[in-house]
Amino acid sequence: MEDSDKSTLTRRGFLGGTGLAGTAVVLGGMAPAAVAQPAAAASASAQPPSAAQLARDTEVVEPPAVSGITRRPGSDLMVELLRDLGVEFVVANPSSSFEGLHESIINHPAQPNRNPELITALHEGSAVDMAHGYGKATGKPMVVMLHATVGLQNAAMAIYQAFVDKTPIVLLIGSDDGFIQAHIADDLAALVRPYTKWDAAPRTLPEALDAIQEAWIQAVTPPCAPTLVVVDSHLQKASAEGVALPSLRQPQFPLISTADAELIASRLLGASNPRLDVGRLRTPAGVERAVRLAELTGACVGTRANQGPMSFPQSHPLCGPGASTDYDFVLGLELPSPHFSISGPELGSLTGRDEAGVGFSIVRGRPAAPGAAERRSADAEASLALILEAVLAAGSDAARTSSIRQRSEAHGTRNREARLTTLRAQVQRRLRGWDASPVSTARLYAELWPFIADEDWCIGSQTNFSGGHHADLWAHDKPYSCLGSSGAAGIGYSLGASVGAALAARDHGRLVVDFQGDGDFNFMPGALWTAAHHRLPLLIVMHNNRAWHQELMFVQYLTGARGRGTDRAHIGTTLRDPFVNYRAIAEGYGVEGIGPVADPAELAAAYRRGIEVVKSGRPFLVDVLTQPR
Amino acid sequence: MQIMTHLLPPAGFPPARRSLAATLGLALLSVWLPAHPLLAQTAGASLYLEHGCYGCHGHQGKGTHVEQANNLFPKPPVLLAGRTPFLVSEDVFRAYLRLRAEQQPQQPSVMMPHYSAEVLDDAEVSVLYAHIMDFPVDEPALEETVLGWLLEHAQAR
Repeated sequence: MEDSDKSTLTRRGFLGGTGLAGTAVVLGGMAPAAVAQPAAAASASAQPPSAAQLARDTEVVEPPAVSGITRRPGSDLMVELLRDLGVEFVVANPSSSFEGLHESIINHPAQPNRNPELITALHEGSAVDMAHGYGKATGKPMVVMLHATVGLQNAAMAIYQAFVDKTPIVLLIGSDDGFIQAHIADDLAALVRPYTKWDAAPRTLPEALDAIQEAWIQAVTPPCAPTLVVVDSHLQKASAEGVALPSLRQPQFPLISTADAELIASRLLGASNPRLDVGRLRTPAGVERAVRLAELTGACVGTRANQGPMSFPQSHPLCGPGASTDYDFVLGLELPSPHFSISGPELGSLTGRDEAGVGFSIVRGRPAAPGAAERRSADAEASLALILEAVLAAGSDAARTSSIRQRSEAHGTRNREARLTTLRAQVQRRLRGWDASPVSTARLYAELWPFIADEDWCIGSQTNFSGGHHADLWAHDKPYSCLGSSGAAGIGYSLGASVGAALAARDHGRLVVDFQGDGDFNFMPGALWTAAHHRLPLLIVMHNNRAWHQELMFVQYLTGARGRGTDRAHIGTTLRDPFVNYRAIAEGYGVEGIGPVADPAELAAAYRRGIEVVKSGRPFLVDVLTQPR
Repeated sequence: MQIMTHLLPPAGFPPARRSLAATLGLALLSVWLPAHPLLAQTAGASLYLEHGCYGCHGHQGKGTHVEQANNLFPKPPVLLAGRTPFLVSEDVFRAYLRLRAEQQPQQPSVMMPHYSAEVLDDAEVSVLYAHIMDFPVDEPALEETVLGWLLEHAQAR
């Protein structure tokens, strides 16, 4: 890394002098840690912002002086790099520290505001949630631009959730040492380092470009997680003349050995009743590989597609318990197995980044359960390519081909029977309280299914608080059918994540459903505006039980255990007096809505209208008064 | 949907209790509804709401569909007249509410909150019981609901 003498050079002096003086070197091997910020920022005691400083962010003032407007600023190169990396969207709430990047995204002459397109968020946490939902729907990182200190802190909880949920996101933190002192810090990344995978604070434009690419690579490499680059405002605005884009590098995924691949192929082909147990892979390509492997080997398959993204399609004939549950070889793909499992490196491999010693339990993880199973710490999706090669290389004879075909047919018949038997039992269960008002949570889900069963759909929200009835009643056949939980059970996730999923869906004729808890909604309702502004195909179904019901039940539990009465358990746990008018809120943000719907007989008509609007490319909100759970 | 049917207790109440309950019901309605109008349109509904019965048993006693909630406590029963044992009569219902609170005060329940007479007096128990007894019991046939369509759709795929 290029060295600088911070004791004698200010940042401006450094950048204006040696830092950008014709440097066209792509720096490799940059340390994955923040580089120290100017000493002046650290030594000065904290002072409240001056009037001039505040004016920059709060009033109509002249833009900051730029010494020499450049026709090809550094931020143009950063945007070109994002485009080359396949980044479709950059989401941000505008800031005084990344206007250079902002301007390049929307005005870069080659393709203004397309690939990437700037998405406007009304809160930094919401912005990260959008990237979280998009990342799970596609397996690709969305870029989030965040303002230094305050913006990053607003986003912190959402970053933590995405980290626990192992979702790739690239965070670009704007930093500007010339304005508000409270927005300057020596090591910005330290605010979130224990729950990000990688960070850097580059000091030159070539370093910045290299860091952005490395952040992208690290984000998509297991364990997938948010990564962070501090992008100094001056790097964004300085001339890029003489600086070239770095060569693109491919991520290197941890793989099983060739010998392991051959062993697995041999055992799958040699077993009389092999099985795949498929967890969450990284991308749709991984799902395709799993389907191919199942079909080549006649293995029946277990799936998690009704719980989260990137798993095996539920309606595939091989998906289910199979003709017999006496499996003689089970291959676990991102899941444990009694025989052989492949599971990517866990978050626990990143505990070294917890310099502050926070000690997040979820990151530390639990020791692997003892057992005789072979387990490889490798990326299952990438390793599947090797296994497929080995299966194909093993060839086949007529007897094996016939055996696999017969096994597959038997699985198909039995799996279909099993699905229908399970479904018959599940629909019977949901009859309970069918005509009740408020609407039962089962009916909340069941009434929507006829409108989307034959569409391309995605559930962008978590669904556990509203019963998750889709898991038993719907068929989850796409890698993005169900994006699953928030990661860390933090509140405020679902709307933003669903907006992100709708961004992934917008240009593909897909519609997204958000089963939206009312408590969760009220954290960051501004994401509605993003959905309206960007014309997103999003149906928001309010699970409006007028409470934080989990907590209400906890308090009621204690009233029972302490024997002191129940009539005050609603204090602090319910949303009454006044009720929240979600339809009015939606309309205020430019989203059409219906409700509150308390009569279950009116729900289908509300959904019909909602789906019509969503299919026309606009969001819609149906506020439904529901049973508590 | 529940409407104003619980202002009077059901037939079969002892006359004195009917009178007391009716008076109390009207009083409760006038006092509580403006403050807590969460779908509670009767005095019984208000009691059912304010004492949190709906939290585990649902607004019409149909329970919850969420296994996670069921696991918080022993699974809360649905409240169905003629089927739920402790609803066989108002006396049994009252005894069920009182039993642990008054007979076993040193052993508080973690299954269901205690309802001593200080928490829910006899007149209120009468109103609450009447409200619960009026919950609909029957469910529609599967074929009459979208659940029937859902099953047919799956079978046709």
